[in-house]
Amino acid sequence: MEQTVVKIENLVKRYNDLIALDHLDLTIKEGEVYGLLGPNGSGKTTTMNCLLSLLTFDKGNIEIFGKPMSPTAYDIKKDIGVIMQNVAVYDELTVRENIDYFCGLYIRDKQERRRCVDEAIEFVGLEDFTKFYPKKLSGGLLRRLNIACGIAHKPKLILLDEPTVAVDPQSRNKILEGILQLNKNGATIIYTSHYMEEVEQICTRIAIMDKGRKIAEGTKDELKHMVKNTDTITVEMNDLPDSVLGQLKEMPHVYSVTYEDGKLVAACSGGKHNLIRILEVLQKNDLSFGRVYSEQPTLNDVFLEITGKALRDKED
Amino acid sequence: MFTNDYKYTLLSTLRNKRLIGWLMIFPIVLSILFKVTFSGIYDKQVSFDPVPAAIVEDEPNEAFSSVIDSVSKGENRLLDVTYTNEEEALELLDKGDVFGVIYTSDIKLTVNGTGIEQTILKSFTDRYLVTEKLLNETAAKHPEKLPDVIASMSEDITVIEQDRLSQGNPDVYITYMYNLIAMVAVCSSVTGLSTVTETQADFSALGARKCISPTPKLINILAVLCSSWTVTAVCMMISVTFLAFVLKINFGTRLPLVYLGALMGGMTGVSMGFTIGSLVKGSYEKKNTAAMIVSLFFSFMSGLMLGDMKYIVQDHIPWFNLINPAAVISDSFYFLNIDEGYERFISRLIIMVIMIIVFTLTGFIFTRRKRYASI
Ligand SMILES: Nc1ncnc2c1ncn2[C@@H]1O[C@H](COP(=O)(O)OP(=O)(O)O)[C@@H](O)[C@H]1O
Ligand SMILES: [Mg+2]
Repeated sequence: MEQTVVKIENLVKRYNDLIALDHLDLTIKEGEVYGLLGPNGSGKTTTMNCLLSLLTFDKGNIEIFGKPMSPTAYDIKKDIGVIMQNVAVYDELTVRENIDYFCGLYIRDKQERRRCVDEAIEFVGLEDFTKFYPKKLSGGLLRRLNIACGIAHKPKLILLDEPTVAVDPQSRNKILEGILQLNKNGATIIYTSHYMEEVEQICTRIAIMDKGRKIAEGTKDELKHMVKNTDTITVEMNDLPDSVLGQLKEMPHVYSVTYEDGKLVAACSGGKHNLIRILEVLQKNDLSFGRVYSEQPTLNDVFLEITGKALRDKED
Repeated sequence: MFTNDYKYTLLSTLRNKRLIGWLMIFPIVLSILFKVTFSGIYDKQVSFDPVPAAIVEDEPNEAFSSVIDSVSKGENRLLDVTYTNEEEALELLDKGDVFGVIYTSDIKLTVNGTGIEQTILKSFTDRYLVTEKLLNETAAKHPEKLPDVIASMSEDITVIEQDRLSQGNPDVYITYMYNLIAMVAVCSSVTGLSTVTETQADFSALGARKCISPTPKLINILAVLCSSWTVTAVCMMISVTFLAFVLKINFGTRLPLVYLGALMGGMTGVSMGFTIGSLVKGSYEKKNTAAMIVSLFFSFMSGLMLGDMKYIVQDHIPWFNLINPAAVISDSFYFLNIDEGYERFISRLIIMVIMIIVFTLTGFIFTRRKRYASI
């Protein structure tokens, strides 16, 4: 039986009047890549900080590795690795010195530490930059240094808080691969992000958060099942009179229709015949169309269905 | 754990070029400025030239004349005398050619202004009056012994004055240098801020990363505190060395103890910064400004900008000089130079130790909290 690594029960955290976490429950099992998905301000970072005993909270219970977590639970802390949302390194120490410094907070034995530091440098691919100061590193390399500092001591539980924000696609992929590799090596991962693609790509189980509450949880397939048989149908066409748009809107099972930039997008639920019936309407009105495709629901649709708003802000 | 922590925080502080630059340039520039401003006064004080004086012989005084003769001859003479009438003598005094006029009838001294030269003349005439009877008796009964008595008397005066110069130089210039070292020491409080800024999760991501590690917070804080102490100690050593050996400021014969005082002063300043950093909430700029204001206030009250400030404080709120770190630090040097013994110097060192303990404990109390309400 898999062991429970993290257990959060009934967690409430207020910042003055603002309820940042509202009776949150999370259970994370050994070996999982657990995703916390939610828009900015939904409480992901607050959850992490409570979990790490950095923040006081108003109510609730937190256990890690089956033991109550506290600021002085050093035997728990030694097995946790954290990659913070903000890069936290010393500007005046080189790449290698930084990793050695933070690893030294966990591992005393010099030889063991040297081995760990070497492996961490190799793991994030910073071999050619060991003598560089952080200021000289590009954004992506800096993120990788930040990761190396968090995982050099070979933690059993790794928390990553939006590690790919402001990272170029190449570094992003390398980071995601690395996370899967760490998981393969035996670490349990908690990964927060507001990028649903990333969460879908690597997480074995996902909790969707909004306004400090967990609004859904499951594997990505389970989550998509929640939005029943939702399909998004896209039809490329040059012209669509408003009258036809009106007709489409009145069709059963179609709950949203938009026409923008030469694309008709219809979100439908239930039944396989939605596509055919939409095309019938178009033909009846003598409208020609180009490519037609139908998409499976995304986590965004799940979020949309539950909260009535889109997961991501427009500018992302 | 501690050694690794200490090693890297020290390394990172030493590599912080801006901080180190300030810590070094600041005392050096200021001391050069002082040197230039006060060097006129200073040179006269150390070279100890004979003091020009006018003698008005309104009545013959054989004993006095022979004393004057003996102290205004030779390489190490005390006085350069001009015999003249009263009118001319006062004119010389007005023009500043002489520092004082002495009347032979009653050994009355007229001086213009106050300064070391006037003081020398005063102690000379005082000394003469005290020994006058002895001199007169000697002149009457054993005229052959008169030169010996005169020699011993003039030696007395010379010794008194030279003592004042070598062991203690309680003059404006050197006092400014003591205040300067004290100011550098209290301004090290800025270095001490890192004890808070680098270890607190609600202040920096760096602090957060340390807080979540299994290294106890106390050790993390202690490591940064010790590295700040070390950096400041190095800077204080360099400052004193610069003053003593480059600017050639005469710290008297107890230079090693000046180093000790400076070292302790620097530690006091850093610890003060730890307390300020832990009490003042908010950004680094806020903490930094607070530390600077407090340091400059203490320096001001100890007489850095206004030479008389310390005495004004001494007159009105004497206890403040005992709790003002800058005053305690500069006093330690001052007493080291003017006192023959070490009691007052040691008492100031003890006050510094107490301050270090109190500041450090206060800092710990206000940073020991393990969880934050808000990050
Ligand atoms: N230190 C703080 N003081 C007050 N409110 C805060 C603080 N930190 C976060 N919040 C608020 O708490 C909510 C959750 O924030 P956060 O946990 O940072 O969200 P996320 O990481 O998902 O973007 C937000 O509404 C945010 O504005
Ligand atoms: Mg966040």
